[in-house]
Amino acid sequence: MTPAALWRRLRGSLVGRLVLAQMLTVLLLWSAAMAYFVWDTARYDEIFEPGHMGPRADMILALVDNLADRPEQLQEVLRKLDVFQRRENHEQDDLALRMSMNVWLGNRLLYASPGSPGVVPATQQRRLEKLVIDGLPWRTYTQQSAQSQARVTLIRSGHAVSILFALGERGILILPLLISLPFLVLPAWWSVRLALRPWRRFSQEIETRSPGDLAPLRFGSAYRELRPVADAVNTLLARVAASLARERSFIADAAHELRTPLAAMRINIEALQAHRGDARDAELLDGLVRSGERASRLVAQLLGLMRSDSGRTQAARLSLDGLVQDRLAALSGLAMQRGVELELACAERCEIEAEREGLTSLVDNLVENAIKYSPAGSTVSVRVGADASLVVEDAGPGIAADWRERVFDRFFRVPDQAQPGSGLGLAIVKSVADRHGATVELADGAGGAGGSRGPGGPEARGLRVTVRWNLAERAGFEPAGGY
Amino acid sequence: MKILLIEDDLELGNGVRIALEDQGLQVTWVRRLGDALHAIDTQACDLVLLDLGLPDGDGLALLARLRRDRLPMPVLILTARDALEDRLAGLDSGADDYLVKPFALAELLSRVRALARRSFGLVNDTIEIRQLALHEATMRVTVDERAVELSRSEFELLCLLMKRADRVLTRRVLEEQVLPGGLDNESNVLDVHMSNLRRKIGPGYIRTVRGVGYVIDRAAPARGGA
Repeated sequence: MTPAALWRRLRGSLVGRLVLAQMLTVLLLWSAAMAYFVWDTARYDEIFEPGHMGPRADMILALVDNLADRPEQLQEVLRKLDVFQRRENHEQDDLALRMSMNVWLGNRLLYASPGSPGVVPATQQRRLEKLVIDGLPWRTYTQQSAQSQARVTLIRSGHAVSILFALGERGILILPLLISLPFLVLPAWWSVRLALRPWRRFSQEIETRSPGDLAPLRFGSAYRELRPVADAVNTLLARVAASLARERSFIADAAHELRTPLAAMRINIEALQAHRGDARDAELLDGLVRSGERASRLVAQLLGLMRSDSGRTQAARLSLDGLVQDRLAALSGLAMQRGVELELACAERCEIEAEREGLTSLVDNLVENAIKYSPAGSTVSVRVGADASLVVEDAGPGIAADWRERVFDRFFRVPDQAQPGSGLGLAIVKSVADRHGATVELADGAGGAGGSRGPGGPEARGLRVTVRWNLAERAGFEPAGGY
Repeated sequence: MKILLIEDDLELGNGVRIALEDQGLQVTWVRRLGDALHAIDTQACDLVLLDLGLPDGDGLALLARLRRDRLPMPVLILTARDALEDRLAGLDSGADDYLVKPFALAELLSRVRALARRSFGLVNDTIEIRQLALHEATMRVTVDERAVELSRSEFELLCLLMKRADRVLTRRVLEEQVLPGGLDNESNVLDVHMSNLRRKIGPGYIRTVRGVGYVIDRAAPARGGA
């Protein structure tokens, strides 16, 4: 990974940013510590203090005084002493750190450390001096012998940067940092991840939410930092829920309002039918009744859908076979009108956790569809299985495999159909099934695929709809969210 | 029979009035709650058809008033609200039946007939469907004027089916009638009773909806009912 890519990766991640920030903080603190150390070293003048340097100068001057009559030996001793001084504090000879010296006898230079800045214009006795020679800062200490003309000047670099380099070269400060930094990254990364765990759980709660669930988030508000986000999300959810509720109640109100004129239309037509004249009038009136029925059915479906969406209803244990029997009894009039036979087979008693109105509209829509699309003289067969399944099978045209996903969309209708319809029936079935944690499956009926049954013609494949509730999951009923 | 119709919608009210008058019923039609209260105080009526959403108040108020004054006439609610809680609210406040708009004329007439029968009590309790007649008080059943002997269970089943003609009665409901308390799904007692009943009153009356229940249709079946 190139550094640029790594940078982008780190910047794009909160964990990355936090780790980066932590590392920068460590570096900054380290640099501050180092700067202090360098500064402290630079002003570390004790070694130059007269009290500290005095004995050293005394020793050198005593050597000079005592060996004044033996110059060769004096030179030898001073050279040895110089070597000792250079290595006194550090293993290597270093210009920045070493102590140099100039030894004078009157105006004659007896000894000068190699590499020292040459003749140091000493001006003051027994105190530290700060001098600049050839642009470089130096610190010197000069002392005059009490017995002779001998004079010694101790010289040390006064350049903080040079000290820093000197120290750096030895890795005293840089190396530990370089070694420990990678080890710091790991705990930093771990601690950041630990601290951010609520954030991940928070996003998980949002991720795993079902699309219809508009209840406020529960998790985020326990943490001060997450609360603004959770509050903002909750406000948004509340607004969406409120606008959905408004939309639902608008549609429900409109549907309710439509019912009275529809009823008026129907009753007037039926009153007229009682006096009908010729066959042509009768046919026209029948057409009017049928259109009125379609409009009424659409209104009822819209209301059912809005009610199912609002999810205000309560689930209870109820008998699936009993409810199906009741609904088939209610729908047998429609079947009779269409010349379709209804048939129910119940394995045994079957109880499920469900809300009655939703389940009623699910059964009604499935059976009404089956009756509507069945050719006259055929049978719509309904089965309730002990495994909490409901199968509705007809001998109608069926639904081609290509359309089986889309027929659950609201107002979607399979093209080129002879039967009028709203396209809401299966959407309602799906909506109710989803809320009950049930599955809906479409398949060819027994009359199709070369079957012998059903006078629906060779085109009729029939349709078998299977709704299966999950018995194991007793608490499977999930009311749609809402305020 | 006199019917008080309380419905504010002009077309619906007029349509119902004409349809009921065509059936030989006397209809007083009012469009406001105030007029309805006045009509109840001043005229005798046997049945009230009540719309709940009225311009000057809630129809349920009228219902409460009727029940408070212990007036006996049955009330059939006509409303656009069909949610379970609305139905329960209506029936709890003392309505006898509940019909959701838009309704078929046949349905309205069937409910009106049923309520009227209940209201008139034993005065006129012969139910006639085609050639079949049943007199509840004397438990007398005739087909084409010929008396038919029925067992108690058979009579009760027939009575139930005739009272609620054109509506399928589920096996569950009928089983409770013949086997009170004994809800054994596997038993075919009901089917035995029904087959005996059919043999006695003749074919063409009782229609089976397999697995669901039985029904007696007012109109003769176009094709042979099972």
